[in-house]
Amino acid sequence: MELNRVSAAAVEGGHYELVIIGSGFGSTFFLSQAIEKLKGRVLVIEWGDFHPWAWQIQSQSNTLITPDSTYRNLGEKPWNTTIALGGGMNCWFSQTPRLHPSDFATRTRYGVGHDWPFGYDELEPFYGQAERIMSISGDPDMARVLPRSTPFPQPPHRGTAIDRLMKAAMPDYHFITPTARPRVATEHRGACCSNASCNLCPVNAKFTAENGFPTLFGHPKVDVVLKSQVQRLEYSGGQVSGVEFVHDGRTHHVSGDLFVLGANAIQSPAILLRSGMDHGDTGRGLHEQVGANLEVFLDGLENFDGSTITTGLNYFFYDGDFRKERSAALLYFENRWPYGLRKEPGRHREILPMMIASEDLPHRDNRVTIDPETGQAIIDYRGESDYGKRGVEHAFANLDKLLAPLPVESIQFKEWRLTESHVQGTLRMGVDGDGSVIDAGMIHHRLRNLVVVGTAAFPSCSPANPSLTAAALSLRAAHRLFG
Amino acid sequence: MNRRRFFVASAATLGVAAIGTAAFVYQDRYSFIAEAVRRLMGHDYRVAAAQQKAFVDDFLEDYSDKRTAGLITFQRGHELGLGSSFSAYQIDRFERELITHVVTHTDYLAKAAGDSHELSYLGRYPCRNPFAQFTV
Ligand SMILES: Cc1cc2nc3c(=O)[nH]c(=O)nc-3n(C[C@H](O)[C@H](O)[C@H](O)COP(=O)(O)OP(=O)(O)OC[C@H]3O[C@@H](n4cnc5c(N)ncnc54)[C@H](O)[C@@H]3O)c2cc1C
Ligand code: SF4
Repeated sequence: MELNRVSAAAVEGGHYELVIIGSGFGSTFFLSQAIEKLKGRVLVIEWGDFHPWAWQIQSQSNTLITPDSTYRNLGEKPWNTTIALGGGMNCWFSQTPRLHPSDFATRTRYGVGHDWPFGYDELEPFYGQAERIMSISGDPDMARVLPRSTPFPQPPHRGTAIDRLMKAAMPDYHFITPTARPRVATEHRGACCSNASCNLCPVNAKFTAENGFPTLFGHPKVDVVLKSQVQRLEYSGGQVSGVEFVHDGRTHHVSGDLFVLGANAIQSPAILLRSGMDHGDTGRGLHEQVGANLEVFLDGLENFDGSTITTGLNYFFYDGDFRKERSAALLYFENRWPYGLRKEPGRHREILPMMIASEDLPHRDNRVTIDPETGQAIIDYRGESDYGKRGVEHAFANLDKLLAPLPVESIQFKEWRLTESHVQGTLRMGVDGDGSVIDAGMIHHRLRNLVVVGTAAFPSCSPANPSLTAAALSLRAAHRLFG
Repeated sequence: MNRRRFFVASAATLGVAAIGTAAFVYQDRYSFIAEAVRRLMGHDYRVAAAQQKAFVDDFLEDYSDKRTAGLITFQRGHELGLGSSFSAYQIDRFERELITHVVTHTDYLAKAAGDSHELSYLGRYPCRNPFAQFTV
């Protein structure tokens, strides 16, 4: 990967047209769209280091900074992020469903949660663009629930024998998972070989910042300062003027014209709060999906012959008027075995591991604050909503009906999942005055040259994995600003 | 080549005099795992001693030495009629994990269909889904 790495001392006191905080999904996709339109220079300030793929495989780690060292957690639920160049693009598993059109309007349609300030149709072209950048492999039939104007860039993965039966029985609900684990090799990435260790992909197949944007951070207009933690923003009169960051124990300052805050949904609100900016529900509404693991024992039907780790997505419990009462649930059909194969000789593969992910309702009391003494982020999360759990419970209770096309022997609820490793919602989009922090263009309501990107911006949860949406949002925000 | 009985807890290789009763087997984690594999797989598979040791060492690291030690206690309790549903669940998880390791970390699948019961250990990071297919 090309990288214009500069030292903190070299940028001290400097001025940039664009200053970007963090280099994860939100920041990097914004930069990729903005770069050709900028006349001046860009500075990317990243807390972590650059850890090339080979280093990560060798050390079996994405970074040297553990997530729990970056915040104080008042509860027990872990909140996973990667602090490194590329952010979550290092550790992610590359599941890339779009949000459902109803996810953008849960308040209007079902009277719960917050609406997004725009709808699915508005984001659709940017979904397509993000999918092209990541070479997403996907099932064209999925357009039945998630309309699309352009085809998936890559053909779908091979489903399992189970997916084939489910697709035949439920053609409007069961699809092969869209994913940034390529079905066919690309210029910089191998094809996915279903090895199931995607946080550290041994064949460099899944999309990462390193293999997906190999020249972006080495662009002649871009400087990157690593191992530099942004502390606060300096602002006056509704405009951010500069950023204060710490490198190696020393404080540095840079100034700029436009700023992008993409530090993840824990650190971005912490930076604003440290800066004395608590407009709207800054830091509030921290959430992610509610998840559970299941296992289905099958009679005479073997699983695990698909070509990637999760092969089937089932939308049967996803949308409808029931969302007034209980959450949408998305069912993941796994081509891997979190609890091992079956024990009986000759029947090792007669098993279907599944995951139910449902949307949660963000709550104001689940929040990020800061330690008044040290400024460190504090997570005060009090638990998911009953609404969120009800969707999982309903899907589980009715699973036998859904799985009628399969020779089911038994269904076991294994456990509630501790986390989905998605951190969302602490600086949500909306209309000024409704508690939101940023507007439909992702610009801060009070600081009008500050763009907030990443999953912090999500007004509602959705059962779907969030990163494709974070990428599409950034492409859209940059497009609105730069054309 | 110096090959030995594998999953029948080649105790001599591992510094234990012999295997006899189950209680004795559980005195050492190597023997415990080897005995469990023999019981679960129901076959007298063989593998080179060094590979056997590597298999058990890697499994202990992946599954965790501490958890395995706890498992041995659970298993003993069960044999003495002191089991609970919690310990039964833990034992089941352990056994499934172990079987999975044999199936995916040795050439068991390639051998299962043939006559030879001599297995090779494929190392700590083999392709984890030997069943995956890539044709349409
Ligand atoms: C194990 C795992 C698996 C996942 N799998 C999936 C998946 O399959 N599909 C999916 O959609 N999502 C997945 N995710 C979630 C995904 O990683 C996040 O949704 C995504 O990274 C969020 O993007 P973001 O831009 O908001 O934040 P990030 O990508 O986390 O980027 C934040 C960036 O800011 C930097 N930063 C933080 N604080 C500061 C500071 N003070 N100063 C400077 N820089 C700072 C960070 O180092 C990082 O580079 C997974 C996450 C994990 C942990
Ligand atoms: S399944 Fe394997 S090859 Fe595919 S992305 Fe994950 S680790 Fe890489």
